[in-house]
Amino acid sequence: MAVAVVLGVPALFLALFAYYPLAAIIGESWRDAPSVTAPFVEILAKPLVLRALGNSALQASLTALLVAVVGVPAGYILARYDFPARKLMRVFALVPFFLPSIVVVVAFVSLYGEGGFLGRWLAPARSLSEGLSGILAVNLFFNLPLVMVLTATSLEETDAEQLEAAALLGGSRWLHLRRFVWPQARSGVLAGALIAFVYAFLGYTVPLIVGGATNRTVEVEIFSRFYTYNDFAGAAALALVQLLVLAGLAAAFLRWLILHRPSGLAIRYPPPRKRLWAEASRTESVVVTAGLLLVFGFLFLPIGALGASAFLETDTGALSIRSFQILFSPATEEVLYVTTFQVILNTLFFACLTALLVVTLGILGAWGMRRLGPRGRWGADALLFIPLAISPITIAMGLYLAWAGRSSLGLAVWPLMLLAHVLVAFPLVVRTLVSSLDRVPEDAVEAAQTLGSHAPDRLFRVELPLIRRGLMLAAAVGFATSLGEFAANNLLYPIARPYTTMTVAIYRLLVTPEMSSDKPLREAAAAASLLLILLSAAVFFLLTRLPAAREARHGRKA
Amino acid sequence: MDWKDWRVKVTAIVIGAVLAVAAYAAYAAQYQRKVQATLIVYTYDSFFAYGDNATAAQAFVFDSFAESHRIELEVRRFGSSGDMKNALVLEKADPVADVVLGLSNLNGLVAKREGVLAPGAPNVPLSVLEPGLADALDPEHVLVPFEYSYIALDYDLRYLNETAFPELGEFMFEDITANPALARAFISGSPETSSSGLSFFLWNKAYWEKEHPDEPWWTWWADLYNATGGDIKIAPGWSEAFNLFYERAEGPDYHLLVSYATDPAYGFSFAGEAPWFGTTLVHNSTGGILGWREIQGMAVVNGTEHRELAETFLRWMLSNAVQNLIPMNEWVYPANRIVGGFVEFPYSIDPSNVIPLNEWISPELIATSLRDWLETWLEVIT
Repeated sequence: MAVAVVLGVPALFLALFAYYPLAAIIGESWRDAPSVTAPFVEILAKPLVLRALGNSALQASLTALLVAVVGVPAGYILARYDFPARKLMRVFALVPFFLPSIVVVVAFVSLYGEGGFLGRWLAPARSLSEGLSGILAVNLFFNLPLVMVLTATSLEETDAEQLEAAALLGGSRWLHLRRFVWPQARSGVLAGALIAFVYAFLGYTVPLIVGGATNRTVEVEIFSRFYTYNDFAGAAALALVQLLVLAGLAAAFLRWLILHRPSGLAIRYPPPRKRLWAEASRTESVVVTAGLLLVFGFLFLPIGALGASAFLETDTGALSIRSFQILFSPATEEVLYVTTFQVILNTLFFACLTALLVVTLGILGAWGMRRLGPRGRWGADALLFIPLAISPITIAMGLYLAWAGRSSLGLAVWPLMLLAHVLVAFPLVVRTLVSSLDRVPEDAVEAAQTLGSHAPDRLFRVELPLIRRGLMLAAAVGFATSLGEFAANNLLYPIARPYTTMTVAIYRLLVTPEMSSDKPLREAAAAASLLLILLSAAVFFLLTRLPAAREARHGRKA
Repeated sequence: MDWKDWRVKVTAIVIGAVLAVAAYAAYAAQYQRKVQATLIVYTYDSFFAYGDNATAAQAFVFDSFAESHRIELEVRRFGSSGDMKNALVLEKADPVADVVLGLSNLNGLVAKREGVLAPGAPNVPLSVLEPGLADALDPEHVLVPFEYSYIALDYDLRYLNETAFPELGEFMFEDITANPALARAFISGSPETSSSGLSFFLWNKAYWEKEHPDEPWWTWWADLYNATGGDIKIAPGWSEAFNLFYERAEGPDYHLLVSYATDPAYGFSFAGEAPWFGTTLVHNSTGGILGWREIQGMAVVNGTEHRELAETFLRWMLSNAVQNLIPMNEWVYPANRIVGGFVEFPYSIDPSNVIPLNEWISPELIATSLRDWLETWLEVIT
């Protein structure tokens, strides 16, 4: 009974704000259709739509391939070699994953763009900031860390005894890789590649800004139909096509994962790491060091370039804080129609409330799921995770159609934006909380139960304090998602100008033509991007480091 | 109070969140529709922004109207006509604006189709308008013209002139695709996102169908694609295109810009000397000058509670007082033919000799087919 009530809250939330909007989208695409299949036949007959589907598939496949080809060796290096600052690099490798996509685009342009630090001198480098190659580069930037870390983790879990036995039995290095390393790394690599595939398939920000007309993805095409032509029916039908493709893909992967689960039988102790220069041969060391420099250069040079460009005047190259002066000047307000302070306030409001809402819903969902039987849990899992396959543009469009546009309820825009942020973050947050709660020892809960405490009491006194780290990470994920959300915000922008957030502000500053050369808006965009990075870094640090520090303090006292 | 107790913590968090939401809702409330007799006008950013004294001109249009009718008038501006149209469409369930100024072809047609413009012709004296103008914009007259201009090709005289390019004398679209140097110098706003780009697209299409009835209209774009080696320069909007035309330190140069026929007059007034660029329309085989009128329309927004007042404002926009300001503040022709009769733009094309091709493609046809045309166009140019 209690479980039904607890699970009922997130279920009701999803029903109202994810599934009902999805129904509204289905309704919209069939609004004036003569038959059930007509809207799909019609939309799939358009050459541009087919091209967009092709572009999405192409960008997704190439990204997944690229990520695997670069990520696996990089992960292997992280797992098998020891070098200075290895642990620090491993932690920092995850940073790009949490950066807002539009900030990364600005960073790439400031390094590889026509006027960028490298692009200015080295024309071939410009390909990393424009066209298909530019899209792939940014996609690689986002997904490489994940594949790298997933590969490293699964390799570290390889049984060293097995490897030693294999070495004793002889056999080529290639055989060794194929027989022992690959089966271990496989699921991690594939999971990473799949995430990269989905990420690139749903690409919006990057193709919109650096891709041009030739590289439109499905998400951009849906946006264009909605935004330029207000063709809600066509946009809705295309959104459904996209959802079906992704859901099919996810189902196929889940099936594969169940069939190829890595064996958990081996006794695990991690294989030893070779120390570079000392234990590894000279050539090996040179190759590995070069690889490390390349990967980390690729990941961190653009961010460095962004930081530098915020403090350099584009025309004179002089060191100054002009970019920030422009950002907070009336010139920026003329473009945004609200002050930059208001934009920061909006951003923080949405981010804090998203974190709070999504963590609350996530706790209820995760706590309830823990108390379900395996079958019930499977169902709840599916119900909670389907929103992951719904793209941000689809979420925003559905919320708009269901709760504002076609309904007499006429909900204001800002709650819709907030809901969109919560929905985008929700699947990831629940996943984080479920896995933390699963690690809480049953006996701790049972002990509390025997002592006669009520369920909410147990939750707040026993379980939540035990998963403080997971809780804070979940809040950080919610916060970062809201901070970086661009697609949904931009779709609703014409009616959401008072609620402009940093990402949309950066985009507007980027695309608004320069009218006066003494106040370059591009510089303000760089400054705003840097502010956004600092803001997310600060909050991320606070939320993920504070509990650790606190635990350390308590530990000392005990 | 025991802060260690979870009940206290949860209550505090809930109260904090509720307060934050309430404060934000209060902030948001000021952007909702106002109850008192306020006229809210939506318009584009650069409306009346190009005169000697833009502030005074805008004050005359808006403030003096508000004062004489003893109302509050609020102007809300948008970065692009597309954003403005979207705001109207997305706010349809709960409209905010009363009047919209500055919808032309695509955005006006979409707005009308979506039902965000008040149905029926507003009560304005259409007889004062330049003949043919109102029907060319909207035969039902839901959208009413307040100004128009001819779309044209500007060319930078430092690189392109009649000595080097004699074809500029009696320019034709075919001249651009026949000469790779001109094809690569060509730059336009995208017809999907910019008014000038769309007007050019329609101008070119009408011309081709009239002059080459046996060829599909996209032939010219296919030729341009080949002549540029597959690299047609399309900018998102007119301003971006103009920036590339105006000044460029390095890289490929774009000296042939899709723009407006009155640009040289503005250039002359701005710099006080003969402009550094020329402008041209296109010619047919018999030397006739063929142009396309880009017509800016205004309308009453569906759901307004101040329809009378809104229509009064539209009449004010067509009055001699406001129309007189249009040439020197917008650098286009006023829709009012009496006022327009006295307008003369230096260095610009005399509109009295121009044959407008607008009649060649009816607004109804544009409304039903434009999207298909643009899809074909996108396919041809990419």
